[in-house]
Amino acid sequence: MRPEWRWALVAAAALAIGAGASQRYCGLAAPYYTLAARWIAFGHPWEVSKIEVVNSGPGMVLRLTGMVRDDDGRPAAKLVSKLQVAAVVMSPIVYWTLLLAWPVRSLRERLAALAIGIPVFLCLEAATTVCQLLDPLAYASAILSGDRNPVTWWEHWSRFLEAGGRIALALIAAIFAVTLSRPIFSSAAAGAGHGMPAPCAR
Amino acid sequence: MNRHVSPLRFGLTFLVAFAILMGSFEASRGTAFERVFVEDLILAPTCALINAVTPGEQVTRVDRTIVSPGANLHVTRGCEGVEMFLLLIAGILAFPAPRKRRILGLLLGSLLAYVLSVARLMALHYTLRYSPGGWEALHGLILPLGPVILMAFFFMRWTSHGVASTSMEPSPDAA
Repeated sequence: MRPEWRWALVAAAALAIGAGASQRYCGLAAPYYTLAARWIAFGHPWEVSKIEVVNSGPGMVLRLTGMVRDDDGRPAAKLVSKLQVAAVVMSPIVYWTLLLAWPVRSLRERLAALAIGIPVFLCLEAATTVCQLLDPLAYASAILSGDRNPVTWWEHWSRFLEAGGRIALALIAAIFAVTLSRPIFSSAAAGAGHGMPAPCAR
Repeated sequence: MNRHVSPLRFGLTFLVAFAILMGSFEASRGTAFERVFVEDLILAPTCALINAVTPGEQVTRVDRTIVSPGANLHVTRGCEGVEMFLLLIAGILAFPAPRKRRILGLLLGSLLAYVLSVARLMALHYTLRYSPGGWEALHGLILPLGPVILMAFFFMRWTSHGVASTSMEPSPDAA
């Protein structure tokens, strides 16, 4: 099969899985999102109650419920932020598809890439989905501090993610995971031309 | 010409280039350039094409909204398809290639990105109008990611056919 057709089939399968399993994935990932959000919120006047999948009228969303305290530490605002579950699965789909389809020389090398890929993936999820869910809390904090029309760094980051940054980050994260896994096999591959072929190399 | 680039170096250059391009475009929000690009070059032809293909739709553009009797599609930040152009440019900048080949890649890729941007907005309109049940999956995942995947296929063709002596291999100093 021509490499282009193979990649096309992989992409179609990935999109179908993503569209069909987004809600289930978000439900399974919600406890991690909550944990990561609480960890990131540490040091900020924010409290993250929970992150869960809920039905929000037109579709299912990942919803963060939290609270922001004012400069005196008093509860000042209760906030809810939402992300479409279909949008949330974009980076996992890109990341795992690339990691699973990336050309390797052996099963051991694939397993190493996948093992290293897990912590990288957790960081990717925190940097994308969790940070985007926390954006409204940063906005509220800025408002409470007296900024009437704030565009926080969190907002810039969120815009970056929405404008294709999710895909770009997933790509670099996958490449990073593959690159990290390579030194493990460098001695075995010495002299064997261990180069990673271009995606369409024949 | 025989150039090599490690995947990690390519990825980092790509990410930095994309971030700079995206930041530059965000900085241009509200300017005449951005209005012309989004409203006149993308939204207006989309409306014209919808009306040409399905005259019964009678869509019009009101600011950033594609308005029809049955559906109003508000095109917000990230829905215009600009990211396809930015990802393409970042990819071509990050991959070592002769200048002529880069220019050809940018021209052909931009044409494809433009067609995909318009097609995506048309698909969003028809989905909202006739299949709102599919909106979530199409708007959230398939229509943002599908065109980017097609752009990636174009990029792969460009790297494998047009730049025969260039490959993504570890450079001598790569880890």
